Amino acid sequence: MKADADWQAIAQEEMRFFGNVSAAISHEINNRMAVINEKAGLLQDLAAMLTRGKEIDIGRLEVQSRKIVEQVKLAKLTIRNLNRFAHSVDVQHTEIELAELLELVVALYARKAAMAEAEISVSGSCESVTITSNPFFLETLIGRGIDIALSRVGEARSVVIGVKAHQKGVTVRLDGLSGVTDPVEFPEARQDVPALLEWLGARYRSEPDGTALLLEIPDHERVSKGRTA
Amino acid sequence: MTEKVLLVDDEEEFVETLAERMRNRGMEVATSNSGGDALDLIDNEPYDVVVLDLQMPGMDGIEALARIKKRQPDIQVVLLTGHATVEKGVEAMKRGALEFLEKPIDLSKLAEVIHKAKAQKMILVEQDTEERIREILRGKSW
Amino acid sequence: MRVLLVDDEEELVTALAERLSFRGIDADWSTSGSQALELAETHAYDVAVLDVKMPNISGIELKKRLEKTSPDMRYIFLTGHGSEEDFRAGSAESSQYLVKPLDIETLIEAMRQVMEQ
Repeated sequence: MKADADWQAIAQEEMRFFGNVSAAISHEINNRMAVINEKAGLLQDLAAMLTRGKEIDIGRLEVQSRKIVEQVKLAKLTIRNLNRFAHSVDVQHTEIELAELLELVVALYARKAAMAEAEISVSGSCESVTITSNPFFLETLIGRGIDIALSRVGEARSVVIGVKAHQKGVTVRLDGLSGVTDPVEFPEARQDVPALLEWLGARYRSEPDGTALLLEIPDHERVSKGRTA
Repeated sequence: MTEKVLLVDDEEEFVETLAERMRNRGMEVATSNSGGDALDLIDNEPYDVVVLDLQMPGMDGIEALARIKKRQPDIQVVLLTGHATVEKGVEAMKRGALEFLEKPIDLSKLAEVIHKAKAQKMILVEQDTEERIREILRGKSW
Repeated sequence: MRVLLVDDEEELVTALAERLSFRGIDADWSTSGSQALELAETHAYDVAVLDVKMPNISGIELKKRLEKTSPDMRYIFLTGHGSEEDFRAGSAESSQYLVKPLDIETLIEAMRQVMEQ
């Protein structure tokens, strides 16, 4: 980590990331609300029919109310992810279980992936890897990596994310891409991501055949714990 | 006259339930899960109104709106969004949307918009027919 | 089994009470700590189901007060989020912690479990 950093740029990127993720989550929850609203409305319609002496299929009451419960369960998953995301800023320098972090970011990006008509998943063979760093900053960089991956997704339209440990840190790998080249550029020309990369001592690079994006992150265990983000 | 509506949204449970509720209110409703499918459907059936979600995978609502108006200018389009802003609303209207509604839907509002759209269409069809009759009469030499 | 339900969300607590009664479980409800204390003074409850976060008093604090008048009552806590602290506090208290939205069957099972303790 560098001692002095472009904090304004880093702060801007963090706020932008926070905004992007919150917006996506609000949209997802609203979609669940929209379905629940229709199902509840349908139950109201059925009740109204009964009141007017019309016959209804009673089985539908069970089926439709069960569907409401299903939507609630889906919304709960999204809310749980929002809560985890919100709490990822609680500590700024800590040991992080990378597979867990990747699962969270992938979940937060599910909607964006669906809109891009692609799938993202965490590799099944993800080693149990930990790193000492800033959780929110890592989420941001992985998220930006996913942004790039979704704009460069290969024919199979499936991005697989994995992580491997090495001597000095970890490498997060996004496979299933096409045409990724160095230098890695950010779709919305974010100048601020480089500032964040620089501060963490991390970097993006592409696989020579263009099918994968790599994010190399050094471990900061040896950095003084007195330094706060 | 019965309103003929095409509902387009990628969220299956949402679109099917809304369609049923609209049918309970006397509308004739067909559904589709994508903008692409919808474009095929409007060529085959005389829909009065297409209700379209703004954010769908593949073709988004604005693009679908533009293409629908190009192919079938008489069809009215109502856009649905998770979050309605003034800017989005203005853009939607500029591109020819009849109305711009936020989800979760207020069904009575949607039904009202559709009734009005149908009534308006019938007036336009009448006016169109009247004009054509006038032309025919002008063309004839008595 | 007689149950006391406490949650500041009236729609939630009344719906729970009704659903429990459909399943043969007697339930009284309240939306405030003071109301809950009043009820506990005049009725004997086997289990109290308390929301952890309420405007005027926390579920944990309410439990401490209820213990004075109802020493034999067991407790179940309801939380919006299964956060680490909640669960740790819960196991220290040897109470059950349930995450909202609730599944009614899970609640009933939790009540049976605390009764067996």
